[in-house]
Amino acid sequence: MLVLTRKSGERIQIGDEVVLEILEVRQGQVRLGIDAPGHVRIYREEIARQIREENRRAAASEPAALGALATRLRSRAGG
Amino acid sequence: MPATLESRRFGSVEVVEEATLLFAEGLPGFEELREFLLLSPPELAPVQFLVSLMVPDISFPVLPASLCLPGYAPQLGEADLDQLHLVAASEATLYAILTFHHEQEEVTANLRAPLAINIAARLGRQVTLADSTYSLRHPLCGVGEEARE
Repeated sequence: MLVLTRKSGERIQIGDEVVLEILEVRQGQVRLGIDAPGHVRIYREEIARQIREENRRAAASEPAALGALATRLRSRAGG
Repeated sequence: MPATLESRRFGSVEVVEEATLLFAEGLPGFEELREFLLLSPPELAPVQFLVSLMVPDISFPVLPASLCLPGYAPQLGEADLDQLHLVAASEATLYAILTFHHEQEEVTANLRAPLAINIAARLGRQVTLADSTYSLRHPLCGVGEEARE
C-alpha cells in the first residue's frame, strides 16, 4: 500500500480524473472531499462488506420460510 | 445453456431463456455467479427467486421493490446505468433481495442495494445506492398486513 502524509487543504490526484482533498482533521476523524467523474463508483468500504454479508444470509433463506409473506402479499393484492 | 436445471430447493426447473439474466459482475459475495434464472413459483407469488445457472443450489428470494416500499424510486449512478445500457433510472426494473431472519422469524428487504434490471436486454446489476436513507434490512412485517383481520 502506498502511504502518503498530507495536511488539511492538501490534495492527492489519483489517475487523470480523481482528486481527493483533505478537508478537515480533528479528533480522530478525517473529512475527505472527492472530485471524480460520474462513472467512478464511490462508497464507504463497510457498506460493501455489509452487502456481501446480507447476500450470504439471503442465499441461506429457504423458500418455504417466505410462504407467510407471499400469502400476505397475495391477500392484499386480491383484496 | 441447459434446458433444465436441477436445484435442491426447486427440483427440476425448465430454463426459459427469456427469464435468464446476466449479472456481468455477479453479486457481491458471489462474484463468480453471472447467469441467473428469475424463477416464479406460483405458490410463492409474488416472491420470485434468482437461481444461479452455474450453481443451481444457490438462489436468492427477491420481490419487486415497489412492493417492499411504495413509491421507491432511488437515483441510480451513471456508471450503473451505463453498464445496464440504460439512460434513465426510470427505465430500470428494481427488485429487492429478501433475507429471512430465523431468530425473529422476520423477512427484510435490501433496499440499499437493489437489483437494477434492464428487462429488454436481460442485464442486471446489484447497485449500491449513494442515498443512505434506504435500509439494508427494510422490515416487511407491515407489508400487506392491512388486508388481515
